[in-house]
Amino acid sequence: MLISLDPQDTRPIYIQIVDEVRRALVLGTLAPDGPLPSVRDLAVKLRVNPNTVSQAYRELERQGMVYVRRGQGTYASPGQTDGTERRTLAEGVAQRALHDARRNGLGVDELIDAIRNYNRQRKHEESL
Amino acid sequence: MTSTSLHPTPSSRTVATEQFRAVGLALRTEMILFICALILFSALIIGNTIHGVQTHPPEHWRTGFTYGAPVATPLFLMALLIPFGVWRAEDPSRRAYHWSMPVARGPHTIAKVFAGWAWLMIAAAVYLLFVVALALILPTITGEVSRFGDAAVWEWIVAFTAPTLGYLLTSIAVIGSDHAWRWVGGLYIGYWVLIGCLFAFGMQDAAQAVRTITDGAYGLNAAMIGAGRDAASVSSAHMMVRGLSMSNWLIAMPLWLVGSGIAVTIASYRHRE
Amino acid sequence: MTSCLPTRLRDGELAVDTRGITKRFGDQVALNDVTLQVPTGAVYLLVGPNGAGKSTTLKVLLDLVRAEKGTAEVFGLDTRERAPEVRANIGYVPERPDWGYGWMRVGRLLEHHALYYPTWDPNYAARLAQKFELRLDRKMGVLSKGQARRVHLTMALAHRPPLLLLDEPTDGLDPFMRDETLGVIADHLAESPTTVVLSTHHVEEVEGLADHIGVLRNGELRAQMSRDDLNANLRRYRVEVPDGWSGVAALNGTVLRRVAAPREVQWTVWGPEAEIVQKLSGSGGTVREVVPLSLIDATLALLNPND
Repeated sequence: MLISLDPQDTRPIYIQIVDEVRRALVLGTLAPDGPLPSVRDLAVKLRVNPNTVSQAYRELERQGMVYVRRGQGTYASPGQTDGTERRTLAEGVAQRALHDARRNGLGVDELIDAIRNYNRQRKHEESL
Repeated sequence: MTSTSLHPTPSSRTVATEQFRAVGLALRTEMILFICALILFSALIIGNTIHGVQTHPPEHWRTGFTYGAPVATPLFLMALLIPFGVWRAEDPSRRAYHWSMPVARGPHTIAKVFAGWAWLMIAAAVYLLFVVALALILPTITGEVSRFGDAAVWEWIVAFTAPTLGYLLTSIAVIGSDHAWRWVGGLYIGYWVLIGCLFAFGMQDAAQAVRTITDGAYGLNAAMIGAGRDAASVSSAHMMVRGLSMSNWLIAMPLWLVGSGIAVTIASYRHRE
Repeated sequence: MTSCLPTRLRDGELAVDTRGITKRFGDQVALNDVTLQVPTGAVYLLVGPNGAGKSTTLKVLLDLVRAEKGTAEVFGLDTRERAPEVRANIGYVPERPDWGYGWMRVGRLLEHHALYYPTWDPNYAARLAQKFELRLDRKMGVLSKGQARRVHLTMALAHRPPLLLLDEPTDGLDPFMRDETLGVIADHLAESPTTVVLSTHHVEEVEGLADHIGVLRNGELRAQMSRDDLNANLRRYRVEVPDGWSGVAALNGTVLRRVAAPREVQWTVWGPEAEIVQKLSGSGGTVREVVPLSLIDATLALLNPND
């Protein structure tokens, strides 16, 4: 599992870490019951305050995505079959897209049409 | 953070020992030069004596020198320079590292002064060893009896007090000022210029009065080796020949030492930024 | 207006607590009534332009500089009365490159430093020396600024002091070593509970590490707050405005920046987001974007507010 932070993202870092772990879970790069890096290792890798990593891990535990094994570390929860995390990720993407749209003065329907058109076009190009 | 988990300061013993070692390291070049100079001079003196014995009749033989208080004068002069070595590259504007240590600043500066002084005393002892060795070797060449039995006890002590005084005097400038050389050189030159001017303008008495600082009964020369101009009393023929006075020295030396010691302490405790 | 920015932290245990520190150098005021509050365990970023008084503030804590007015306490100890005890608990990386004895070799200087700090960890020192690629046999005086800086970092970290005062810790380091240093600091924080006060021009580097910020300008502490506070209250608002827009009367907060273009105005405001959005919408504008700021952008806004 690779976690990296986007320097352009202005959200609190612990939220970014939570999202990154969620993404890893959904993509499968973090397997159920798979180990997460220790708070220390991740803090060093990301050049981030260990307290922030701890905060992220606590939040992940609160949301049920990870659990702590006494003295051994933090692990991904066993299989999430209800698609909660997928939906949360999708929500995040939607939020960013809508934010961007609003910034450009576009409405929701305009955005959805543009997405559909672009996707259709791409599929057409790929099949050629 | 409870006070029990706060980190301790180093012990005074650790600080004193480390300052001694660090200052020794700082003075390493000076020490090597000193030893070389001693060896060189000893060789020259021995060589000169041998040459003299071979080329001149016995009446003209001299051992080269006899021990007396003035032998300490080179030590005094060397001691004047030592503080520059002790505080190498650390004029007060660059002394922040020394001051940032977890030791009170005044005592820490004194510890460094003390460390330099300790090495100086070792140098004085080595110096005396060379002197004694020479005094023992030379008579074997010339056949004469060694001549250092004439010197009084106090003249041996001078070998330690004279450099101490020189060391303290310059230390005042080095600790207190960013431009120690200017102070030391300036004071020295200014002193003689002042006397010269007073003489030149016919103010003999004033000139003589000022001159007592170095040459008077309790002046610097008296404190150094008992060589005051107006010897209060002379206790042996030997000393009369040299113009040395123990009683002058007994008063002048503590006076100057205590005075310069106080000045060094004031300079050490003064807060600078 | 800028007096509405927070300058005092809420109650909590403070590692560094200065009250009304005022310091003059000649007729120049270096620090004016500075009340610095660093909570225990915080990583406090001290920002300000050159000459703002950042280095002077750190030196007051070490009693290298004495303030004319005010008091300073580190872990409850007065920095002046109990200076040696305070300094025993501080690891200091100074701004100046000539720190330590120029004639001493690096290895010998580390030994010297170690003796003054009984909690020195020789294994940690060796690891740091390796990480920073220190050449122990070189004399301090011949080192470049970056090489010297790495020695200073080793000296400051190896005794694991409860308080680190880092004045431009990555100054003079190449980008690789700068990055390594940040990793070393993160690792250090994970290993030992440490309070850090650091000043740096490379604010973006400490985006992940800093959890408090203090803004110094012309010797005055303009703002002081936690990152959470900053995140919660500082926003950039982008508003589309119609022609002939009359403006908005007063926003519920401190306006730090306002940039106007035809049909669009951008505000950087410290204040409650919901109320501000309401006011802006109510004035006839359309709020297109509300975003928090990155640390560097927040710093710039706090340092150089304009109306």
